[in-house]
Amino acid sequence: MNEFVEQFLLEARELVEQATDDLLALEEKPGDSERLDSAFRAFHTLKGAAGIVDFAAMTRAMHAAEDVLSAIRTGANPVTPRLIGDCLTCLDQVIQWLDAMQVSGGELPPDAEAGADAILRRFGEESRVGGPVALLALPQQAPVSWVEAMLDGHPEAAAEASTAIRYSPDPGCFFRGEDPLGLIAQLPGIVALDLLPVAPWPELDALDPFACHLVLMVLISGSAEQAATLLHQVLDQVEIRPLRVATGGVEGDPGLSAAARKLLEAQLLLLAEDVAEGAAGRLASAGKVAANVLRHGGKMAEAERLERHLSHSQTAGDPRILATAIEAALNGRLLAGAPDDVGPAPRLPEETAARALRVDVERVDALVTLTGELTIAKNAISHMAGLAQDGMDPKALAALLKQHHVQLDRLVDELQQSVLRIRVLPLNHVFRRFPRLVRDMAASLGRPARLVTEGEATEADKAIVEALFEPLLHVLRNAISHGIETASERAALGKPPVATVHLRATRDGEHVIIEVADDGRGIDLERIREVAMERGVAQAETLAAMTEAEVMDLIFAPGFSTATAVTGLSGRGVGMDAVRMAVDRLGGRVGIESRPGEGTLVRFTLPLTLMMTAVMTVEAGGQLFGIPLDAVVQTVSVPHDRILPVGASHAFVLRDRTIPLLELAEVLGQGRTMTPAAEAKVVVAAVRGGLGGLEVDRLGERMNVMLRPLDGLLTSLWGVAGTTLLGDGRVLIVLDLEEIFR
Amino acid sequence: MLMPSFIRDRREALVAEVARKRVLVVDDASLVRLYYRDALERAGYMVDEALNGLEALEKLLLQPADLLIVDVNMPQMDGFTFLKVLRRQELPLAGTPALVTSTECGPQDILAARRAGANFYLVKPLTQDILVEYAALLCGAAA
Repeated sequence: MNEFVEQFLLEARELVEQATDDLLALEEKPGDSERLDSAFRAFHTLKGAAGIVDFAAMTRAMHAAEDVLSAIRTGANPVTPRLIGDCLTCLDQVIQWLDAMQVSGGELPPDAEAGADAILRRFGEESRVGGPVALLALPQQAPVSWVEAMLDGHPEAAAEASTAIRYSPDPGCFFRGEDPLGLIAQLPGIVALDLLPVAPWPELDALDPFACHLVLMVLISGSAEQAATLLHQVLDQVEIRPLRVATGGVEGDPGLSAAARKLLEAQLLLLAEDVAEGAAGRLASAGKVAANVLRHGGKMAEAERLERHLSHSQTAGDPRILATAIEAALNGRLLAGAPDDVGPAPRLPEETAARALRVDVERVDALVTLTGELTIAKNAISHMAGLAQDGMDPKALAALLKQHHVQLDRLVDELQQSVLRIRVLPLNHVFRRFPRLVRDMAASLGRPARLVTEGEATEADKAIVEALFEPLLHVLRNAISHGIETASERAALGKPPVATVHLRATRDGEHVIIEVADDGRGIDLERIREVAMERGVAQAETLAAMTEAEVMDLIFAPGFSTATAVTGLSGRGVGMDAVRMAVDRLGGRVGIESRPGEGTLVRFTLPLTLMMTAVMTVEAGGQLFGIPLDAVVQTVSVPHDRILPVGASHAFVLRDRTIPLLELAEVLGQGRTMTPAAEAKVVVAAVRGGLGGLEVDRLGERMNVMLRPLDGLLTSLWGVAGTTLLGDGRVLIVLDLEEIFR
Repeated sequence: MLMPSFIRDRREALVAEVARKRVLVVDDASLVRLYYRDALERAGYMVDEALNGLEALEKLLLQPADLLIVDVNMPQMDGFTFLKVLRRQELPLAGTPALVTSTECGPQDILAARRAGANFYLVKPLTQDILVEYAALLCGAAA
């Protein structure tokens, strides 16, 4: 994949996110012109980016969206949910294209034209509803001969003119009651007007004296939008060109002086000039000047960034790349884009989002300090080697080594902590996907709801942040499909018709708390009891002995689901047990609280970092395995005659409880080893809410390891939670007891 | 790092010398050259002069500049021709930033300068403050 496509994929994704945020905010507050401008710019920049990678279908689609948004800007179209929905659909299509390109290694999607057509049809309906406005059709500074002829012909007016218009009236316009000149006369701030004969002029014999054979060219000081609004009835016969470079309007970079802006804009104009002669020199000089302007303003990082865009632009021979970067600089967005040092192209789209980490300087400093201390500790070892060589008393040496070990242990521990801290990401990475999804769910279920997110800046380990999407989505789905009443029900209860779902993250010491709270109907404990009995999750007498909290907790039991109606959204065959399992896997807990009539709150308590896993090593079939220590209840020796056959398997009794027993070597397909010992060594573990025994040949030691999940083809390997490297270089396989006892 | 102060001072002076930006003023009017040189030297620039485009090209081939300040109407080789020729040279010479200053103020003049390859256009007469402000921006000098 070439680097433009790579850059395109990264930047386009960010722009889509930006546009999505803006559109959703706009739907909430239709009058928010800043959001509108921002969304418009995002589509505009997307269009420009698509142009650079020659993605014509996407350019068309973005252009259509831009038109619709600019119609909103001129006030010709109102903001409607439908229109926002169409724009969002358009962005969905973009994401699909981007995903396809990512997987194919940068090939343009073959069916893109059809997708673009579909979007155009969608927007076509919109603009019929909303009336006029399709303008700004071409890149804003494209040099056009008639514009230049017009400017050259009226030098005295050129300074004032901000829009050029060419109107070629339909020959039969007079018969339709149109008055081209009268229409033009209404334009705001006319500074020059040319009336030209059409070219080619018809043969005298064929000339229809009642037809219009004129072309009207006008320079006005008014804006292109004003012109388009006035000429909307004849828009198909009109070309409108804004003459000034658009610099993002109201929201430019405030860090740039007026002179700096002027210079940057001048470089844009220089780049837009289509002069073949000396193009490389012009491009280089424009890039150098733009970088210098930024450097002068103390924007060193932006200047460097811009210079990289310059060299991209030079290798591609395409000044538009540099122009886009200068535009971004004018808008103060040059650094807001993706990070520069993007590695080789990833195959899977979802990998990209969190590939590059932004790391706090303090954290890096901490690492540097630790590295220094480690170096000192390392030097001490050679010192001790010297002592040993000099014949130091072995006992004293051992004591010294032990002491040194303690010190190294502490350092390595701190180093691990520091490295883990680097892996943190803000939860925004996962939270930002939800407003859109909640909007769609709420709409499709007919339960008006809005999502309020809080604490998006809270950080957690990258692996945790990335794994939270599924469980959170499920909880949110439940909240909307089951938790929230319909609008009419809510009205009857005196609640606001639109329900609010809060998605909150807070830091609590070494934990991250994530809560999903709705203001819906709450959970009916009686109903849980009924369902639990119906589905055989619990017996009546057990239920009677349970506290309310325990009953509530049954929601997370496998096989339980309070769904009374299967909906397209939530009837996916997984219940809250899947949520609990996902959170468990992250080393967290999930809990639920509810008040009838007031709402439900689901709380995830997650570790801040994926800490070290404590494991116990065991030997079976001549191989060493690790068992996560948090699952181990105890280890016991069971005389062989106390192991009872139960059907095809075995069990033993421990403190009046019958515990199923598996032999690890056999389970792992290494054959049943004849244990000569009279007693079986058994690890008793808590799995799936019960106890299970695992017979091993030998019990080993306890240790803390950094568990690596399996990757690649091994991901689906049964019974293995992950691996870690042992001190002697061997790989320790850590078992997944949940799977083994399934 | 510890370093005797006289060495440090000398080093700083050397660094400052190397960091100074070179400006080549291309103008046939000696008063204009003087006016520009005065402003730029007081602002810390090294200033060189050329009387026309041809002389400017010769000077540039010997020693590159960080910025060119170019007049339009000059004998032997006018500013626009000079810029067109310059932009056709090899990089990095061709990419030297160029500011055109001219008494002509019509949009067609600005357009012509742009088409010749000028990075910016200022209408004469201009104050020394403005000249220095734009020179600093065009050179990327520290604020």
